[in-house]
Amino acid sequence: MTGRTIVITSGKGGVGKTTTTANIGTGLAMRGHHVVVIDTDIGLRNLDVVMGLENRIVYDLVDIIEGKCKMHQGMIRDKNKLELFLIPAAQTRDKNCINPEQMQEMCAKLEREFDYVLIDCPAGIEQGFKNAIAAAQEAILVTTPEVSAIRDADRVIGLLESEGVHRPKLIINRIRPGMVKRGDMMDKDDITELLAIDILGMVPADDRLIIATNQGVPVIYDKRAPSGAAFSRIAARIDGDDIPLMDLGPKNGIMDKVKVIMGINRGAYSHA
Amino acid sequence: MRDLIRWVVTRKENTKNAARDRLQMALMRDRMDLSPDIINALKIDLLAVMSQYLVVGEEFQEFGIRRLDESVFLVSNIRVKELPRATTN
Repeated sequence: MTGRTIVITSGKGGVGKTTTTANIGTGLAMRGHHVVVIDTDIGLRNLDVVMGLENRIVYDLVDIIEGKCKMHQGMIRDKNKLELFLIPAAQTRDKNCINPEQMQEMCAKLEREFDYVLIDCPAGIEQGFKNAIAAAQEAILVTTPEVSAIRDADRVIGLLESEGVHRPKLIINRIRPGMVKRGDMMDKDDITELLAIDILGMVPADDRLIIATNQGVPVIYDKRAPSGAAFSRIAARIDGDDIPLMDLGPKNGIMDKVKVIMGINRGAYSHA
Repeated sequence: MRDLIRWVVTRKENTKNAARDRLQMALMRDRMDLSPDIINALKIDLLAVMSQYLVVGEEFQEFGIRRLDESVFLVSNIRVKELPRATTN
């Protein structure tokens, strides 16, 4: 087996890398793949809490790399018994305690066992970023429709390029369709044109995602969550399905408004 | 006053255009600031193209990205050593 190693990165912090990693990983596992997700944010780990696995950590990424445990001992299986495993970051070490070569070596081993190796990259462009992207053949860039996040994304595209990771794919997170409609938020065309990269998907801002994360459950399990549906489609696209992007946005027909008022509009937001 | 009018008009139109335009400028500057390699490659290519039409100096007297008002310009100066004779009228 030769798996694909994909890094999920952004430059700016707080745009949703970890949530994206958890949901794409879960989505790919739900499609029957063997998936491992790796938290490389040493010192500031979070993928474990987002996936609800924080109480099961015994060993971590640094233990595996330093040979203090076997690879399988350092992997935590997903709660729903999918073929989904987490390698958590170390919390009491720092980013300089591992190096890019060690990441490459570890991921090469994982690729022999898993269909997908997803790497959750820390914010920033320093050592942690370099470690995270070293082993990746592909990159997913997460941004939000804000000037700061997009600017940092552009910087990261250049750095990925110089490290030999070409053509990253873009996920635009936390789109607010109402604001896009009013012309107060950049849309996918604005953003893809500025960054000159291909889009992988759009995720609407969604209260249900926050509720899911509170409980340590990836929102992709919530069948009624627009963001979860968006992540499902993104996972399918990564997996090779040809699913067209859908328009985000509240529909504006009178009947839709009535449905919204009556609370029967499961699809008040269509999603991409 | 003109700024005020523009603020009122653009504010009414939408703010995403402001975001997009500001970003466009920022990215252009970032990209140029960040890649001396690209600037170098551009210089070499420009020299090669110009040499097809003119005899020019080996180095640019001036070469840089400048921001004027709201646009970004590539400003460059090079000495022309020889102009070709007109072969058509």
